[in-house]
Amino acid sequence: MRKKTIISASDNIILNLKVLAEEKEGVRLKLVVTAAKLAATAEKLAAIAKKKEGVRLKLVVTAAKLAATAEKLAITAKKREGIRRRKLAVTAAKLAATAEKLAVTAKEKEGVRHRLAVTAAKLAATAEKLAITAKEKENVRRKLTVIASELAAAAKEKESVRRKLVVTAKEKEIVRLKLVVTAEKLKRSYEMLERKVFERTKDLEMARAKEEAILLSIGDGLLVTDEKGNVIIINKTAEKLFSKNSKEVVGRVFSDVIFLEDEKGASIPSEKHPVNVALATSAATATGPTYYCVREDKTKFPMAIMATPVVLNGKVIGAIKIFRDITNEREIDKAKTEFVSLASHQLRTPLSAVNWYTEMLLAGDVGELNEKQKKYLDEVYRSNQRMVELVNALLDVSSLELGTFVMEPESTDIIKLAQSVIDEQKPQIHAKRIHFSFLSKRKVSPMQVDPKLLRMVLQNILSNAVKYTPGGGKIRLSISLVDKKNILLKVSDTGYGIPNNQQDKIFTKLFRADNVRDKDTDGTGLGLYIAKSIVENAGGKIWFTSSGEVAGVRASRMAGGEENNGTTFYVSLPLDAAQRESTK
Amino acid sequence: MQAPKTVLIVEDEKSLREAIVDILRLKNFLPLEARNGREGLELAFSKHPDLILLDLIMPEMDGMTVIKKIREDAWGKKVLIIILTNLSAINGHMVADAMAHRPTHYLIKSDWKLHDIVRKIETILAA
Repeated sequence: MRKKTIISASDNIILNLKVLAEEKEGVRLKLVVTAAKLAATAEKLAAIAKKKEGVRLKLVVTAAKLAATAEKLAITAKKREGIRRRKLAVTAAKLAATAEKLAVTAKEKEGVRHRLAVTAAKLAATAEKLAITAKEKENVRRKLTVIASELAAAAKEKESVRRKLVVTAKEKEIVRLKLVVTAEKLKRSYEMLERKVFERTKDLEMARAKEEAILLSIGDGLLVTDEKGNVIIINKTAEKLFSKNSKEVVGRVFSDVIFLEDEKGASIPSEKHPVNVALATSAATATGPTYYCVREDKTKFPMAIMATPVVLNGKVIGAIKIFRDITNEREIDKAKTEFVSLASHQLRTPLSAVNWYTEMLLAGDVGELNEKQKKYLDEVYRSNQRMVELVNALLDVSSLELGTFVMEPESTDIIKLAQSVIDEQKPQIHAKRIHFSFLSKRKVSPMQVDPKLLRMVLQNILSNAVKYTPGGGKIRLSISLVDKKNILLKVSDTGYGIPNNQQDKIFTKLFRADNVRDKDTDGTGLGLYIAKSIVENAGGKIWFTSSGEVAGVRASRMAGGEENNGTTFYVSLPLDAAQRESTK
Repeated sequence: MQAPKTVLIVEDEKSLREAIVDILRLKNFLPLEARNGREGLELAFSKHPDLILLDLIMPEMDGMTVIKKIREDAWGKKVLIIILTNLSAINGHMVADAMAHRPTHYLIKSDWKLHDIVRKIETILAA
């Protein structure tokens, strides 16, 4: 819009200039005409002045002639002297007067002429001036024309420029429109981006808050440190357990804020704090010995700690400590132990009473019994004996399963221990006329095992061999060293063997193979289960080979009690106590 | 003929206590009976028996306390003590604690025949 007004304004100016030039041209032409008229008038006046000059000169000549005539008349008059002279004088005088009058007129005429000449000169000058003016005007006109043409050219140029500008403007308009569209698009995508960023930020914040909430809400105590042990996070449970606000802890070296001591109340040096161990060794560390956490008010609680290094790109950048108050577990453990103790005590007491009284009766301590009485009491005694064994086995199993078995490895002479187990079995071995041999090639140096538990293992295996080998069979026990790392106990018999299809169940609790169940009703089905539990707990292995019977063959053997290939049990135990620890 | 050896039986369970008393009498011992730890301790200090059969789990005072107190005494330091209990030897701390006070033997009642116990006592006292 503004461009248009500019363009029309310049057009107006050009138009005005043209009109002005035309007007000036008109004026100039009028001036030229006026000048010409003036020149003509001046010429006429000059001609009139010339004529008057001629008249004057004629008058002068006439006057001179009249004067000569008058003189001649005067001479005539003189001659005619008398009346004529007077008439002539008068006439002369008259003529003189007329001449004089004519002279005056001439003189006047001369003035007029002079005046006319002056006027003519003035007019000529004016005409000249006018001519000059006209010339100047002409120049001005020319200049104006030039200017007009220049202006026209300029206008033309302006027009083309304007056109170009219009084109440019149009192009610019298009560009502008495109820009507007682009700007709009940009604006939209910017807004979208903004919205997305906002949403993403919100999502991220939510996710972060969620993660933080998850971390902070973990039911176990959580403490995270950087690689120098400075606390980064502790969660709510940790705050509660430590009776400390996270603000008091975060940013500080954890061992300056959290104090640990062992069961005897000796404080744990900071380098033994699981977190420091994890940081130092880059390995997850669980508390073996129970540590107590001591609060500021000196109250304490037992703590199970698991410290794990935080590894990023192969570098330890911190540690996570998960811990919990195990007061309850402790109490439960204690209750379990107490239950086993109490049960063992309570169950065994009446059994002991039956045992001892039947024993005294059978021994005749209070008088002889007849055969029938003896037989019956013997049944009572043996049944009671079985009950005792069953209770013992059940207590062992429950101890094993409750984890109340305390492994107390001590330096043990395994040969001596084996010998004492054999001695216990001697009565049965002799009663069944079993050929027993004990092979120990070399003297075995004492090893670190729990003698009570190893005894149980050996008792179970050996008593099984004795129980399930028919009279007159063979049992061989050997102890040897394998790889200088493991001790191998081997018990082979020529007994009934374990049926092929039941070999995989032989270590199962309360399982008894069909063939021996028929043969001997005494077993509890717990012995091998107990043996396996103990051996594996000690980091060892237990396995067997057995000829395995076919049902038909078994029947014939039952009938004939003949010797067969029997079973061999192997127990391998590590000599190295450390190795045993690691398998726990 | 030697004067009979005195054996103090500290056992809260009447039937068991009486069985032991009977057999010991039969085998020419002089049995002393205590129905709980406290009585046992009193009798031990007043009668200075040659040997003490001590149960562990008892009312009033348990066997653990009894053996500790006896071992604190000048006479008690050397007296022969057989722990005769039904508390499994595999049951942790209490047993370990008891063993720390040097009983001569730790016998499980239900695993031992009365006659074997008497033989054990005879061997120990003869040594």
